[in-house]
Amino acid sequence: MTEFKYKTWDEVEEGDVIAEFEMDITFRKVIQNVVATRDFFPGHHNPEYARAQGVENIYLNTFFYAGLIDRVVTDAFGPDVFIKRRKFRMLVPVPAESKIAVFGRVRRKFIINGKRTVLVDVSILRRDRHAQACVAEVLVEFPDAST
Amino acid sequence: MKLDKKKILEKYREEASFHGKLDYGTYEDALKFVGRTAKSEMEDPIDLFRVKQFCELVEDANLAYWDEEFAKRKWGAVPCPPAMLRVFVMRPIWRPKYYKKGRYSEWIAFKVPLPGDTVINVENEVTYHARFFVGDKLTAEEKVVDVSEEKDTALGKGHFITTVAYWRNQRGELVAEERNVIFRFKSRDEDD
Repeated sequence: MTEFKYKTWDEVEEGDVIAEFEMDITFRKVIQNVVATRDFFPGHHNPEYARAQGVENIYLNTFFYAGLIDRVVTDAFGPDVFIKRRKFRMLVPVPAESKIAVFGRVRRKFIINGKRTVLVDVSILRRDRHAQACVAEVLVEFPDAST
Repeated sequence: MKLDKKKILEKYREEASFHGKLDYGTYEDALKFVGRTAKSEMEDPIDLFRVKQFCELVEDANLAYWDEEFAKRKWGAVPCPPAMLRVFVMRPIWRPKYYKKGRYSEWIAFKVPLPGDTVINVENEVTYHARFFVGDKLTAEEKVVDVSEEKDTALGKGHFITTVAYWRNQRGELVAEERNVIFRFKSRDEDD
């Protein structure tokens, strides 16, 4: 079985970079987005409608960001952590035929209500525009030390 | 060539009603709408295939979703990616007339009477209280809590609508509280 190495709460340090990768947002990716979320709002599958909305092409939906943000967290800390709160703003739409860069960093490490917690910043950039597409913060709870 | 945005938005008005048919009115009408509520429930329980499709999309290798044995040992069931909260109450496009399963409210943010002819989602915040799993069936109670004054943005002029939703599982346990902000706007003309 594949060995996974995740950071434990004790190993995490404020300022740790937990993600830095790029992803091509192909036309297929945006269609995959519709298929996986069943979000048939036309901005996500109809380029003519997207353009009439002021966006260059069909674009990613809210679920995509939420899912990608959570993935950044669990890629770093493993399946046992609990996403307690995820908050994000979408600043410019990400259309098909673009590329995103994803960055994740630990902002704070603390204990809240007895829970070993970290606060993570995730930002998603549109490479072709050098623009922030999405900024997020996630509060992540680690399992109790005894488990 | 000038893009006739209004005409195109009008052409797809029916399809754009997927989340709910936009209601039109003034900002004053919208303010009177604050406090309105709506309920939704899933037609069928969360299923593993949908979970995998979602993980495939964001390329999420989390063992919790791909290794059933691992997940069952840990939690007794495969957890649902928390980001999929609203995915399972997306309204159906077609069902037979006799088919009455599930309750799909129109997304209440779409029902706020305002002048804008289209929408885009801008902000989302969810606080989770418990994991939810393949096999669970969630319900949502949603409420309009705020409508902003008119704002001018790169996309056009419009209003920001804030809603909150409370998500419960089939045992009535609160699993998540969601706050969402949607921008309802008039698309900017090319020469604006």
